Amino acid sequence: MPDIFVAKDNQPAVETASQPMPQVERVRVVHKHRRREIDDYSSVMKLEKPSSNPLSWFLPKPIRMGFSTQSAGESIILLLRQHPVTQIPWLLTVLLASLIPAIFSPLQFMGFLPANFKMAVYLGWYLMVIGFTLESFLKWFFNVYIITDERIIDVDFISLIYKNISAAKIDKIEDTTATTGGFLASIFNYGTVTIQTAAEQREFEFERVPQPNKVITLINELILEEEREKVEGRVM
Amino acid sequence: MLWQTVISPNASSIVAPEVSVFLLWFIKWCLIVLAIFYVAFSGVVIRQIQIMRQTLVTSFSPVLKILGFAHFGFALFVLLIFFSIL
Repeated sequence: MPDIFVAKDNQPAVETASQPMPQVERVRVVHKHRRREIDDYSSVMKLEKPSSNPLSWFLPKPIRMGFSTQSAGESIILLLRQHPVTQIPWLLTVLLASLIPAIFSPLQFMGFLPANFKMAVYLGWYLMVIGFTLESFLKWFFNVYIITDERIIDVDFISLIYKNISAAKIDKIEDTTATTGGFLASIFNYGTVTIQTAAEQREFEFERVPQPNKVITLINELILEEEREKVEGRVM
Repeated sequence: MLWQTVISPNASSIVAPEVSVFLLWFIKWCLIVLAIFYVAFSGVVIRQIQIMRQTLVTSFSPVLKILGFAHFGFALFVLLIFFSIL
């Protein structure tokens, strides 16, 4: 029989509003695995004890510390500051500035001034030395580099009226480099860690931080763990 | 020396009473203005400590707050001293 007569019977059933096709329910299975602790996968952090000293420059797993953009469940793995040896120039400046009145007073540079004026000048001088010390300390204290289990964060406290906070997710990190150069850096084991990312800020520099090789190893372990999480489908 | 000549051109020795009144008045107000600016600067330091305390939360933050206020207090004290002794 020609097809023209049986074509109507061969046509597939057309879905109508009154007779909807049975729909397959797609169930999204969410695997809620427990997130692994840092000590479970990091050879560097396994050996480090949690630090509770807020004035330290190398704080693994810091206790009672946080930052403003920290999300729930995000934990700080390592907090870094510049090595104290790199702060020697401003410490020497403070020492020298403190001694200047004692050095120059016998030379009678202000011999023409009355005693009350001399006292005022000395007071003003020491006030400025205190101000410089406080500002330098604050710059060191708040200029931190934070590595969490999710991100790297660079808090730059550039001056009293300017600060800059940059962050990039661990899975955006493409390349890490540790540079140690100079006599003091070799002796005291500090250097600059450069991190290339695919994030908006292309490059992060952890300047003159202690133990740069440990930092690099830790970041590499975090990248591996992040990839493992993706493969295993673990939910954050 | 040049500065000696400026201060007391006719003096053979440099002694306080011979310093011109105008120069002392000028130094006095320079010091006071600097102290006023410094009080403002120490106020900025307090504000900055507050902001940074929120950015980085540590157990040392209360100490920094006290340091900031002590610095501000000392700056105010120096300003008052300048007003009273100069």
